[in-house]
Amino acid sequence: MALKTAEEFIQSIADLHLEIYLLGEKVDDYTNHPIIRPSLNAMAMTYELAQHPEYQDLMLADSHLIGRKVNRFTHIHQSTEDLIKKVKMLRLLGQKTGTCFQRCVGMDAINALWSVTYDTDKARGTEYHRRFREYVTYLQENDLVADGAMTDPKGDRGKAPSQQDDPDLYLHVVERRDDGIVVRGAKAHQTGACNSHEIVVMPTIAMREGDEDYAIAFATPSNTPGIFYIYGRQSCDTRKLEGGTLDVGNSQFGGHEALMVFDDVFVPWERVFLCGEIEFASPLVERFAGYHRSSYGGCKVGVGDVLIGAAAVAADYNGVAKASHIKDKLVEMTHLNETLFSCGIACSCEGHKTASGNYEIDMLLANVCKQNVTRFPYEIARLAEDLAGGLMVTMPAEQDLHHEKLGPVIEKYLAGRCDVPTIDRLRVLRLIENLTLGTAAVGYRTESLHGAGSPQAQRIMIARQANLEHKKELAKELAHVGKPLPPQRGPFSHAAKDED
Amino acid sequence: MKIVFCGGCNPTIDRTALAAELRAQPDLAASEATVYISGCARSCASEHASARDDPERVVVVAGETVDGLPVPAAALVAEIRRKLQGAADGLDT
Repeated sequence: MALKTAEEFIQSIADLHLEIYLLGEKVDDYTNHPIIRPSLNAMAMTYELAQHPEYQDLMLADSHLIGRKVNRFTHIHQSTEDLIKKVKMLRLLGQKTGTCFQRCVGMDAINALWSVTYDTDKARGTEYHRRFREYVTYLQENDLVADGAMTDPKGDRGKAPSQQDDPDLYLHVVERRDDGIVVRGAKAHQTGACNSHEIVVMPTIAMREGDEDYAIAFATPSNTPGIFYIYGRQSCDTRKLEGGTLDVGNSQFGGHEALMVFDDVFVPWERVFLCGEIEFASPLVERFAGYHRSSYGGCKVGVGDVLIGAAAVAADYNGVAKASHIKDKLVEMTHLNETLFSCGIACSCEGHKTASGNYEIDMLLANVCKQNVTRFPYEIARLAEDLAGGLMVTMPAEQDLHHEKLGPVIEKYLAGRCDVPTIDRLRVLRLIENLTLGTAAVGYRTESLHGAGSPQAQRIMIARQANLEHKKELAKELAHVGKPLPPQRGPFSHAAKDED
Repeated sequence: MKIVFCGGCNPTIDRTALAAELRAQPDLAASEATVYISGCARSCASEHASARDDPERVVVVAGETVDGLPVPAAALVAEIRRKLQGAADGLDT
């Protein structure tokens, strides 16, 4: 099958007839629901751009499985160049949508599972990697979206999965059959789940003895009987029900998250990729998190590009573009944004080949990348609000602009530079509001903080890989701590000694 | 035995100690093997892989991994020995 067009993708999601609930009601025509549709449009951009030659260097990759070009979101990274292009592709999509386009989580999940299933087979004699290879081939041949589902509700965070009062607070196996397993539980904060063809489930934390039923990874179609979705609210989401294009800020694109419930869902063995091998839960979590933390060095940068641009346009329209403090703030925003990009690129350049053959990012640098993402978008957003001015949150509603009496008044009193239509000034301010306080702030701010793991999760990984003993030895060596002072000598004899 | 090092910018293992330990074992030292020793998972040493290497007698150490699979630092020499003994005409056992 050829690559899907955006239209074919949207129709394929409609054809799934997913069980989605929003604002207390089941939504049957979800692909046309005004709250949901912008998120579908954002996901569809991953298909749309792949059709255009001017974007295909980033959007497509050479599959080592099916021997032809595939959408990079279904690709198993074959080089550090692939890792770099992934980050650049995510930046591009952030620029084109100004929001979370949701498809990276599945790409990161399949790359983590690729190597973990291989390692599990080597250690345990299982056949997960063969199954997973066939599954990824299926994804590539059909150009499908896979949702990577990791985060369990977790209940009492002080207790292991098997020790919870309610056993369903971590997704688990409730029945093992000859033909497969039956699972129960839920996955929270599921980005793009309602726009996905497939759900790839992984455990959410390290497992210990007794947690075997919780150490599971599998894939299943998103419309498998027993799965349903409770759509997450976003700040200002009901503005999308008002029918306008101004107050929503970004009328075309948005992101979404959902609580995904598994109510005794059957999964055949061919789609099970981990089942009880508790020692591989932790590597799977760490590798998925590493890939996903590097992804944030692309997608958030692209959205940041939009926000910086919007702030610069707001300054233009206010007639203050040449003020030195305005220019300096734009420089600072750019510096922060490009620092994030640098981290995404660095952890990709420093990636390495795994035993399974795919490429993995540098774990330390990926965690440093995400740690910066937990901070810098907040400062970029603060500076954007600074440049936008208070009008961003005090301007009248779109309906007032259309009011016979109020419209001309708003045009007159909310004007900026005389050569700029007032409506254009208001549109760019609403876009900044959308990104910093509205529906897109879910992706740009809170997701930057908690997505792919909260800040402390990265600090734990950074501490583990800080190589502190090596640093201490470097300092001791130069300070002659605990060693007799060496005789005076040239610096090069020391260097030669170190190597051989 | 041929040993190829990475540049050593941020090693998580003691590369020179590992090399010394390998060379101290006569059968290993006399073998035709090539061991690429990198300080971390980036595996820069293996970028110097040569077409003249006998693939059956190549071992890649990258931080606490051997040929891509995790191995604790203290067990690296034993794992390298095990790998080379598994080669077609490997070490005497």
